[in-house]
Amino acid sequence: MNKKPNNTLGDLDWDIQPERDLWADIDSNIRFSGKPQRIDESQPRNSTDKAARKTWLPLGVAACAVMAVMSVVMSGMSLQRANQTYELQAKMVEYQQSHITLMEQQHKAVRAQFVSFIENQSMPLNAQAAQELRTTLATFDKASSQLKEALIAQPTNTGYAATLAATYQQEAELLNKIKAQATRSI
Amino acid sequence: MHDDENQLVIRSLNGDRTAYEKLYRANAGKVYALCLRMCGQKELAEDLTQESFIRAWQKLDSFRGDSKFSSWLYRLTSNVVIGHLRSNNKWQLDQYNEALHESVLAEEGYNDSIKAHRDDIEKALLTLSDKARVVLIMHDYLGYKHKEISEITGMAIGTSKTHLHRAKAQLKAQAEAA
Repeated sequence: MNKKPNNTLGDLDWDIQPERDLWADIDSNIRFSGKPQRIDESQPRNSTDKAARKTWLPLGVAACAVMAVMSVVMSGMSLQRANQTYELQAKMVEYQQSHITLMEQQHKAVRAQFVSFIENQSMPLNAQAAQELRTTLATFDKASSQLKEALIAQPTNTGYAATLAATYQQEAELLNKIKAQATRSI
Repeated sequence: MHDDENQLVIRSLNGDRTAYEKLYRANAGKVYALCLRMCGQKELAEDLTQESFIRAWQKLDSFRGDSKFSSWLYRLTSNVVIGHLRSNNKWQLDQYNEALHESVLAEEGYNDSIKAHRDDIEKALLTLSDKARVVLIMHDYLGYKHKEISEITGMAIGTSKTHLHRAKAQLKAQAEAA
């Protein structure tokens, strides 16, 4: 609120608990809804889009910086307030980056375990299955690489981070399935 | 509290729903009260409260921490309620809302906590047109300027001022008549 109530409305009770607890419905909704606009943005783009992004990105960043400075000046925002905003954003970026580093470490470990497992198999994968696996893993690598590029451009974008986590998760599930099938066939 | 809120927002941004539940618990009563006063109906206010918190989760990345989280949430809630009123064409009706007043008072199971505070102001508020009620609450309770109300609701600044003037005049008249 920008200012305190200044007339009779202020006499009313403005903190009323709803009769039923709404959290369960909200929770079940957000559990699966994610952040749709982010998921759309994170879809792989074609090379023309990529080139355009590379060309326009520096201009976009510069424009945003100018807008940010202008809005700070125009709104008369105090230096302390601006610092608080900056600190919050910096904390968000820091938290996000540590989270991504952890994900990458875990992903590397999953890959290494799988490679070790395959190497120790008495019956290696047939040529066709091995090729399909290489193609699939290459697709995963390409997707995760694009997402990491996007995260460098937008470090606070949690949608990219969530999609990267989902990509790693899908890959881990696939590798686990292959391991389970190979174990059963022994 | 501000720092705590920011921590909860950061954790929520990273998908921590437990943190978001804490933000919900801290703000649900205020968001619900705002929805209830703006729309005038208990069940609809519950639906709009839910919608506001779901929308806030989806748009949490647009909260930059340059204001209190609750202020950002109220603005978003105002948008949700106004969006609903618009989609139901009630927004176009620019008349005192006797029908809504009667239906709300007659509604069975109307919130007991509201009943306790349902004084003359409360009753008078419900007789206002949707636009007048929304402008009055946004201006006098949320502290928005007419320019901001104009940006959020899409009505002209002069129209916003007129609605506020009418709303206050009607509240005053009802208070004097009581």
